[in-house]
Amino acid sequence: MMIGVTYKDGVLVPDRPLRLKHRHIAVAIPDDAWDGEPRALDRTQPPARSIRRQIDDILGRYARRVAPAAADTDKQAWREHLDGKYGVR
Amino acid sequence: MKHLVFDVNVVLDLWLNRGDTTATETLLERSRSGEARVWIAASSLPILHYVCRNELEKRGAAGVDAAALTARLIQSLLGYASILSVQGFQQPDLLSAAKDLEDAQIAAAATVLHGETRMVSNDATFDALGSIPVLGPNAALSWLDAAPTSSARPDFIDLKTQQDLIRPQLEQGIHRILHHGQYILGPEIDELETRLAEYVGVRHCIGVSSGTDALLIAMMALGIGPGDEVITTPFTFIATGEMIALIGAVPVYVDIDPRTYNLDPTLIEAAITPRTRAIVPVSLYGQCADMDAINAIAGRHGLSVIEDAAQSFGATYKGRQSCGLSLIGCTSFFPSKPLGAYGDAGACFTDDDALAKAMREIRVHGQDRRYHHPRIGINGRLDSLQAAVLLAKLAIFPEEVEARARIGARYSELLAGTGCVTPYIEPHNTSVYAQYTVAVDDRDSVVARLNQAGIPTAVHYPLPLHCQPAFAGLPVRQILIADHAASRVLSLPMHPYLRDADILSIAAAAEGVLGTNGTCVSASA
Repeated sequence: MMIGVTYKDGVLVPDRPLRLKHRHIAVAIPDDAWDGEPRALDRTQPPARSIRRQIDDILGRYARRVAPAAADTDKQAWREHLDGKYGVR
Repeated sequence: MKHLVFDVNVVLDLWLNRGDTTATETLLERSRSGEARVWIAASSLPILHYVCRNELEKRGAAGVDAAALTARLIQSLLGYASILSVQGFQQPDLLSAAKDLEDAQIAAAATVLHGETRMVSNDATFDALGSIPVLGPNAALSWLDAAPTSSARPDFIDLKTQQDLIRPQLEQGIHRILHHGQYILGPEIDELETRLAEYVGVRHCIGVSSGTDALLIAMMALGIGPGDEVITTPFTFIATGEMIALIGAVPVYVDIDPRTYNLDPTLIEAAITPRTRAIVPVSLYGQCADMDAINAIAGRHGLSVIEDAAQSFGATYKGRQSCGLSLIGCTSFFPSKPLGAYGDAGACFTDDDALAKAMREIRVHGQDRRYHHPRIGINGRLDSLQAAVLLAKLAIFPEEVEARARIGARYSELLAGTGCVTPYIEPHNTSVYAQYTVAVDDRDSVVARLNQAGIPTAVHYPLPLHCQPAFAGLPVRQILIADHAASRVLSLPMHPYLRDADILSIAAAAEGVLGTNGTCVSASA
């Protein structure tokens, strides 16, 4: 069957809620709908960074890029927390 | 399937946007698309929660907001990754073996996974107990793209990949039963029966202890017994004829269709006598018999039809589901079946209310209420643990059925040039390919050569039932096609997680062994 979808920021959103049996399905996009030449998705290209967008959306004004952390930074913070919690000094 | 178990620092780098996290994002995208599986150990969650909340507070978020935002980040992560249980039984050993108990808990949790597994950490000193290699996110991405290093020999049936896929659901279901303690006929049975009946499209599903008991219970409910005859196929697993004989009836074996290996409806009427009570067609290898034709014959002669769908649950016949094609459908959930439990299990299906009631009573010693037995029954109940396993597997079953169909078609395409006889699927059928079975000449040589090439095989079935010693007392009937098939059939590896590379290697090995005419090529050729 055919359904309508809205294209926004690289994502296709169905015009009405869908209940599908499977998590992944193939969707045919008409050739004349492409902006430029249609091409197969290339796995070697960087991802669309939807995960980064999702995280930034959640964090809102607290989202920011910072310098890499040292490998033991988090473990150290956690252990200091435990030391404080259980009075280990 | 390849597994990636993320260390805490990798997730925190991602959430807090520390440095370049592109590789981590790609790993998660690949996990979501099903190419790999990312896991977070349950023991990592308190650390993730604390450190992230703390960092967000440093960025100005109030304590409550920081906690809520962190919870949302965890929820979001679970759209791409799964939580790996930390097992209590592993802990005593870890106490003595671990240099870093937090790291070791993550590594120990990862050891329950079956597929190739790597820890992903930015900490070069991560204590993986020496059992699992540790990679940074970029190296993990390269590893994901590299060819698998294990499993050179394809499995005949692979239940491990599936188990990895649904591990959280399996654990949840099993834990629930350990908690409520209703091990027999617990609430999981009702849920499973409802969902199976919906899947098949019938009014009643009765979960029972095995596919064999499903046949026995169905025939007992129909009142079949000594002096009766039941028509069935000789080209099947022993249980079909065995249950007919066990209730005192006589199995009457009728030959099969040479293309589908299922009961040939054109031969049935000649076998009907005044003592005939039922017909039990078997939907062999995952393809339904010609049920409309068989039902029509049964209707003309007042006979009951029980579909032995032990191998065909999930298959369709003229758009209808196997198990819902006759008066009663019986199936098996033996572990290797398309829908398999982790032990013996089965089910009966029917639209007939009275038969459903009878079968429910028979499965529990003929009991209609506690300690009241209006009929003789058996101990044929399905246990709750098996039902929980089946519920977890049923959630992914439609996708697995599609994969089986795709793999079956791929095999047939690749083997077409070898000259062996590939499965014939009737145009009105879809097969669930419980087995992918070809026919070859000189089978013993073919089996030996394929096994030498690392390809496991099986024969379903080498001796038809009318030739089994247990049925030696039956009248001798000429059943030439089943005899011929039994000497030629050969099953190849088949499961929904068979990779295309495996299919190609199996087909190439088969081509090398079979040549182009279906006869084994000599080893020196």
